[in-house]
Formats: sequence, structure tokens, C-alpha cells
Amino acid sequence: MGIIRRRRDPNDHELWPIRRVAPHRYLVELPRDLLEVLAAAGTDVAEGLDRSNPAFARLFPPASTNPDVDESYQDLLADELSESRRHALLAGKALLEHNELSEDELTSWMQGLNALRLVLGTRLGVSEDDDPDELGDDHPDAGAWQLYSVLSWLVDLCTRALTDDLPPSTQH
Amino acid sequence: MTQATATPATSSVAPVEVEEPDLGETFDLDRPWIVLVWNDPINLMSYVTYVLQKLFGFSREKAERLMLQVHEEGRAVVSSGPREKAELDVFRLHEHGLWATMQQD
Repeated sequence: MGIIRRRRDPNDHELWPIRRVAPHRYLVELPRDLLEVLAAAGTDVAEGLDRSNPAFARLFPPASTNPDVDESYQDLLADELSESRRHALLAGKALLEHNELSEDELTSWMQGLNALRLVLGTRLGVSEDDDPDELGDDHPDAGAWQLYSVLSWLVDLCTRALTDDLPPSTQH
Repeated sequence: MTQATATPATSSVAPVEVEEPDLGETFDLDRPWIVLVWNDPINLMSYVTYVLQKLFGFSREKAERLMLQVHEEGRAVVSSGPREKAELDVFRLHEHGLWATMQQD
């Protein structure tokens, strides 16, 4: 799994660009051009989504090592998963209109950002030993790695904001 | 447009023969199913912890324990129960981008 090295003061919540402002309400304060890049990337992937394309393999993993069980699951839920993916990948468009999101909106956006990470990470052949900070600016994939790092940072911020609204745990 | 064809009100009331579906391999209905989450190099540790807390109501400590088990041992069992529940749990994990599978215990 990947890990985020946090550079900001973890207690300085008010400076976080994605933060909880009230129960189940969240504020996203990011540069407009970044939001546009993310929304465009999400739209591109959503429009090209194809289960048979190996580039999207991580978005549609097998549900079982048993082919019969997997086939039954795919018959039942594959279309629903595709639709959920599309919805999440397009969720970034809402942020071009307003920057305060409901829990459902932030959750969808986070799932879409994570789906982009999965697609980009697959393309880059990410391994647990990779450190994007060690790549030079002249590396041919430097731009893609930079986007991957930004996506990682945003997904981490979303989880932090959403964690405060988790219901009390039922299993210890 | 196609035109709807009226069905006679006096249709047959004889029992309909239903062909038994081919389920391929047979499964023991009494044995529970388990759902496994597998390690992958892309999903963030913080994200996996959050998803396990959210979907299964785990405490942060338990979710972190399972996340670390996935990270260090390659996989962890996160839920168990009837097949329908396992399918739903796998779906929700897939929806969040985690690599999850189900199998009979």
C-alpha cells in the first residue's frame, strides 16, 4: 500500500484545503485550474470506461478466484459497479459550481479521485518502493507522477475530513 | 414504436415448468463465505483504514490492525456470512477501489 508523508502540521485543521465545516458538510478550497484538470481527467476516464481494456483492470477486479463465483457476481453487479464508477469519476464537475459539498458528494469525489489513482498508478507501474520525490523534473513521466502525488494527497485529505463523521464503531 | 399485444385474460393456469439453473460448482449452503482484502501498491494505508471503518463499523484500532495485516501478510479476512452478504461486501469494497474477493470458508 502507499503512504502519505504529511508535511503540514496535522493539528492545523483550519489550513487544510479539504475540511469538515459542520456535521456532514465539507469545504474544498483548491485552485480553480487544479479542479478543472481533475474534472477533465475524471470525464476522460468516465467516457472511455471499458471493462475489457487492461488499462482499467484495477477498476473492475475479479470477485473471486473461482471463475463460477466471479461470473455469478459479474452477472449480478458488474453493470452497477460501472455506473457507480462513472458517477464517481464525474463528481468533480460539481466542484466547478460550488465548493461546499455534502457527505455523499465528497464521498463520490473521493472515490473518483481514487479511481484516477488506480488508473494512473497502473499505467505508471507503481510499486510500494517508488518515491515520486526522487524523480527529476526531466523524467518522461514526471508530470504523471506529479498528478499521482496530488491525487494521493487529496484522497488522504478527504479521508481525514470524512473520518469525523463516521458513526460510532460497532466492532472492536 | 412497437405496439403492445394484449394477452388473453383467460391464460393457462397450469404450473409453469422451470428449468433448473446451471450453477456450475455446487456449494455447501451451511458453510459461510469470507471476504478478503488483498494488498496492492496503490491504495493508501489511511484510505484503506477509513474504508474498513466505514463499511464494517470497525473501531479505528481494528481497522488499522486489519489494514496492517493486508499490508504485511498480503491479505486479511474482513467479513463473513451468507453468500449474498459477501457479494454485497465485495461490491462495496470494489466501489471504493479496494481489491476484494470472496470464497467459501
